[in-house]
Amino acid sequence: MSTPLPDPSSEQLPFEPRRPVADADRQRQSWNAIEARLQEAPVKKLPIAGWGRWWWAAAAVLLLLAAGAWWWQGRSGAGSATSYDLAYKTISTRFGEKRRILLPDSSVVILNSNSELKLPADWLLDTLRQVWLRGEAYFEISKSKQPGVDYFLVHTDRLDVKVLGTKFNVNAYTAQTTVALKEGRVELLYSQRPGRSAAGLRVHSMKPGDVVTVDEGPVLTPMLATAPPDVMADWTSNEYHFDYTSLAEIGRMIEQRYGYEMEFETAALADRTMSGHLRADNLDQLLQALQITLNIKIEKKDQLLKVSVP
Amino acid sequence: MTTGAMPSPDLQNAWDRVLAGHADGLRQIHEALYASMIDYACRLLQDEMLAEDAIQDVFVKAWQLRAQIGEVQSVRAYFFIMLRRHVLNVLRSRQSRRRQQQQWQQQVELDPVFSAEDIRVQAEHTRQQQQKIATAVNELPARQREVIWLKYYAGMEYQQIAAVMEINYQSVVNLAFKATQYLRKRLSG
Repeated sequence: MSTPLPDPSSEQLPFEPRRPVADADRQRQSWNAIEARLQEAPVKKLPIAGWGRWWWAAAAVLLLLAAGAWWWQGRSGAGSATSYDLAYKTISTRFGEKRRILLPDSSVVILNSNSELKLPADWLLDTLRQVWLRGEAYFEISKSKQPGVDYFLVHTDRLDVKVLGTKFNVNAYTAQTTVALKEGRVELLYSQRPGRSAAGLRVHSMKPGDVVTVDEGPVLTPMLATAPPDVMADWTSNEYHFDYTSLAEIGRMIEQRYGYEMEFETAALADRTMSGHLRADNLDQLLQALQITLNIKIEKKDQLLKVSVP
Repeated sequence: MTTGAMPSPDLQNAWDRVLAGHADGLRQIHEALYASMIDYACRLLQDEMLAEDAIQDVFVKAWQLRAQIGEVQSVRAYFFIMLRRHVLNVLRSRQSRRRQQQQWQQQVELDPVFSAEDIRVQAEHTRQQQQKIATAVNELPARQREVIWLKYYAGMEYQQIAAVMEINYQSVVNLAFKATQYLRKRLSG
């Protein structure tokens, strides 16, 4: 039943800088969206002057209100997709897939595997720039050309990241959320009261090299660590950096990104640690490297990775 | 090199179905043209989501205005014309919004970009050669690049390209000639 690991050199890179744009799924999605609109009456153009300006203001308020409700909606499907509703577009990635997204303000987001990024359907230059993240993403935020609205907000389940032109990584796969800052300046906005109550709101400013983690549990206490900027968000280049990292932690990372759960033959195996840099373009290459470095055996079986001593 | 998922007579039949009020004709056109249209729109807008919106708007508009549109000479060219005009409108409205806010102004210009992955002219091209061709193509002025894309990637005739870009036939021939001359010179060394 177990699958032998293929020769890494024959494998293709899972991440393409420019994804082939069209596939049958996407064509079908596009068609479904069109079909749903065929009954629409032809749109008449609204006058831009006069009340048109107010209309945009109203839309912006709606977006902000709807934002709060988003996390209550369940996640639909596990497939990679771009879906549309009235106010948002949602871009998601499958296990093992990454996507590079160019935002209309020319900021770049690299969305890691098994993640979801939600953004306003109408990205107006004169409204606040903000996105919602579940999972992990690396951001390169462009400086705003708009006086007054000079920051960019990344909302996660647990905290918000307020950004001024900068490069940083947000990992919000689980309740434990990590923000790593590579360049520039960001502020973390979080509440120390349950339910993100405004009464307990705190602001934490980060410097380049800072890695802040808030742990699971109802009370958010950020813990600060530092890391050299070049190892931050190393997943964007398919590189892994381990520093006395336990196999259990590596297993968690693999589960988040690839959807395989690690199962250890003995508890001692889970505590084995690994240090150093390695490059792996996909899960099989990563497992291959782990097997050789740690002298262990990893067998892929269904959605399980069975770890044992050879 | 050409897409040609559906031969042109079928596209014409599909459009006749649309004119008769059957949405399945529109679906067939969408199936046949989606891949090349989304690619074209992505290059022009450099934004996948805006590109997708543009395609959807174009198909909805084609359906709504089918009676006014009536018979067309080339369905493929007609959809590309609508798409290109729509993209220009999107870029213009984006620009006018900027102007209201006294941001920088620039001429609306379509500027498709090629990557090494696009260059699959011959299977035996190495990665390095692909990169070299992509670089050379990207050095071309935007209009020459667009002609090259429509010719080699969307598989259009010069006549159709002229219609899509709304310039005359001779200009297309000139642009294509200049582009191929430049590429030949650039890649021979």
